[in-house]
Amino acid sequence: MRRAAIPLLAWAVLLTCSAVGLWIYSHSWLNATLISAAAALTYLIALGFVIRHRRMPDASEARAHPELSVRALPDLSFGSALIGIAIATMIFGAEFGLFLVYIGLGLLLFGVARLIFELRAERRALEEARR
Amino acid sequence: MVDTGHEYHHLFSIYVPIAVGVWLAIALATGYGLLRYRRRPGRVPSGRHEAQVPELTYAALLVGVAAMLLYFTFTTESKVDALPRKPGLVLHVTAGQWNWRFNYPNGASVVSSSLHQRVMQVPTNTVILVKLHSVDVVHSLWIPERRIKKDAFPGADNELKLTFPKAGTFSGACAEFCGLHHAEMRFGVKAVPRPQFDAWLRVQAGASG
Amino acid sequence: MSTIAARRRAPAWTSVIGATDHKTLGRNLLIAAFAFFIAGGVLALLMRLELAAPGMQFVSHDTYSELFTMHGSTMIYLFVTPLALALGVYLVPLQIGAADISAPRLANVGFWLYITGGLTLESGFLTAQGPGKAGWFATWPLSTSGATPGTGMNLWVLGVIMSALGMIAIGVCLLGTIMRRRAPGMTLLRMPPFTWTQLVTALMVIGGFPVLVLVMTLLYLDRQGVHIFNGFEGAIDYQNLFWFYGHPVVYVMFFPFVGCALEAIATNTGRRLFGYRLFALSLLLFTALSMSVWAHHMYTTGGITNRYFAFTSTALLVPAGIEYFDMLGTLIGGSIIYRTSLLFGVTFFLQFLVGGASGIFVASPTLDYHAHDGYFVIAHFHYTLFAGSIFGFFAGVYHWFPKAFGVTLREGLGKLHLVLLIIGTNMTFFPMFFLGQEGMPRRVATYPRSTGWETLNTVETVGAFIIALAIVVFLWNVVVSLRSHVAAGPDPWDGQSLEWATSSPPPRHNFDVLPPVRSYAPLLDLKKAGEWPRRRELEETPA
Repeated sequence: MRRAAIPLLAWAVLLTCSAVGLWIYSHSWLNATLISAAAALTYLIALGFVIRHRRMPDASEARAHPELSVRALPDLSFGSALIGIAIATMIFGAEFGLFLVYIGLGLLLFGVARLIFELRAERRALEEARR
Repeated sequence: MVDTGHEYHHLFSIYVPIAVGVWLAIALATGYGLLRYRRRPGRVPSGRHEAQVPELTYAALLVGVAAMLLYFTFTTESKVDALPRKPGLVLHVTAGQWNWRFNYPNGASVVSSSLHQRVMQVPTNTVILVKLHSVDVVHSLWIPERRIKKDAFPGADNELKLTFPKAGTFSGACAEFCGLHHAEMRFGVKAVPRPQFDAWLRVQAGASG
Repeated sequence: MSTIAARRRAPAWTSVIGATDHKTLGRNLLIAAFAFFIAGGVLALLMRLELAAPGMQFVSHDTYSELFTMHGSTMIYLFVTPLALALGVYLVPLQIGAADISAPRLANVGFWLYITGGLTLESGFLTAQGPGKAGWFATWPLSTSGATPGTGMNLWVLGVIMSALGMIAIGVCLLGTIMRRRAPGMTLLRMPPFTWTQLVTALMVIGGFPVLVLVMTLLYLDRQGVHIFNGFEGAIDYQNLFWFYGHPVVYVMFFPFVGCALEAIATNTGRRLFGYRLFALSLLLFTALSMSVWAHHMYTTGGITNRYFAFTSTALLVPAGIEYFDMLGTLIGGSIIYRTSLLFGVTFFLQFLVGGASGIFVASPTLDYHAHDGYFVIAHFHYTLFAGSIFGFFAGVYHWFPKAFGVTLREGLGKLHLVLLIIGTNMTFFPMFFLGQEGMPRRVATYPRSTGWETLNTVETVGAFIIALAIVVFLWNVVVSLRSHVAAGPDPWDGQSLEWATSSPPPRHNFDVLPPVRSYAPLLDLKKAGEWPRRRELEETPA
């Protein structure tokens, strides 16, 4: 799976070439900084995938790792919906008042709590299914 | 003396035939492919799924086309962008919501606004340096017949070289959306021979005070 | 290896709120995006009604500014961008043999940020001073609170921020899915072409969209009185920041639809995509270039190095040309069935080429000095986005509709839809090249009668209503087809990639059995070796 990072690295290198071109030819430090930042971000992401490579086991490995032969697929997540709406509420509060930001913060806490609840329930269900 | 209209036309006559030619070639090839290779009983599709050498050759050809286009663009751009060291006329243009103020060296000015669109005058066969800025939002000075425009920003001047090889009256517009009466922010440009222009300018100076 | 999911009996409305099944979430995104398309389209029809004749007949100048701003904003932020990502959310796991996307809950957060962002953007219509009206890119200083005051404009900025955050979240999920969830044997160079386009799209979303969030936050602060931007430098900085997002986004609105068109074409010619390796490489080059060309939107500002961006912008023709070569290579030598999906795909390539060629035209600063901010540019981007990308989208719809809904769309209605849309888009947008050449500026509510532009404008307005008719035909096709009782089966088109190896629609976990992957057209390999049934019902094998 480490090889999968190669296209990302290739992309980052192409962006770097562009950044070098801009540093040389452009009067604007902002321009070159923007593209350099995008290149840097892509390097980091590629690095992340190289370091944390973890593939789903295939049929041959399933026997060796029976615990991985069962996975959880969430069907519904109200927690995530609440988090999305909460963030939106907080942003909305920038226009309509601090009270909305607080309400959004509260919703966010509810959403995160619900999300934790969902993740734990998922883990419990997985453990049961694997037994 | 650089004629921006001519330079545009020169580039246009390189780019457009190539574009049309490419489109026709691809459309014909596509039509050919669609008709010639229609599914018929017994037709087996080709299993060949790549042709590296032809494709890379073709890619090299494309690089050549791009290089050629860039060569023509850069040489034209040098001519159009180059600013005159000794312009025959320096014209200060101020853009605002929603009017153009054309300020001449002798203090004369013509104002064309969204309510009263007016015609200003320029001399033919003279290199004109336009110094352009805005007093509020971004506007853009566009004279379509000259095939050129330049944005007017608040805070600093933009410079534009203009020449009018032929006499005539041409329209001008604001090209950068600037609010409510952007559509009416138009003006006229009348290009006349230099002596006629000088005479007009003297009269304008008197009128503007 | 098979996967088993625990099923929950939940009422249908819950799947609208909390869906984490990528198929449900993808479907929700698609429906929401299409709803915004209708809204944006209505705004366009109103604009065209006003422009058909000189003078102000139906709306005021102020309203017209709102119309074109909200038309562009709705179409770009709320329709085509989410549409591109929605297709990825639905199809990528199916194409790579995964049971779901990565981090589906994050994707749902993204979905809700997009919905709330869209509603916030449009809610400006309910305010006293109206919605955003400074154009879809809100050029500073026109977008300051002095020049464009009001809550509606503030809500516009906030709406853009929210929906951009949503898109970033979904892009992250897509990238994770592609990197982590591929079936055994599916290396990156064995992914179907559509998934490759989604990979590079996700990269552009992650690389470019955060800058939109940044610049809009700065704009919002500027509108609150914090002096972020000042003078000429500030105005140029704003444009650099905006267009650094503003160019990649148009490629986000392009690549997935190239993928759709290519898959529809390849499947209906009975061959795998021609020139796949160079295609994948050229995608990387194409998208890296797309991150490097943004200031070609600023040639007339005098604030950037025109030549550098002319160079990168013109270079775009190289990878673009490679894609056309591959399309032709697939067609020629094939065994072609004239299905609606293929016809839409081929039309996409031909019409997009008009947009692409006009793009190379305006990549030249000297040519752009005339074309910029005029109707030539409007023609250019509507050819790429509408006459181009949306045709690619419809190719994908006709191709994958049976997979998602279990029934095929009607071919007859589909061809009517295609013909009407070809007539409509060309009638509406081709005359705009001429109007631009003659000097018609963009974003004008009216034009002088003396210009003689009325005739072409009237033709364009008629064309716009033909487009509307085409969309009605499409929607009718959807309604009529969904009522059909004829099951499409798992593989109605003799497909080549993994999504056709499961039922239509797929079960929750997508695949009961994953076929072996030996190339980028795994099913085609198996069919040729006689190891996979062609266009017959698959018997469900036990897990």
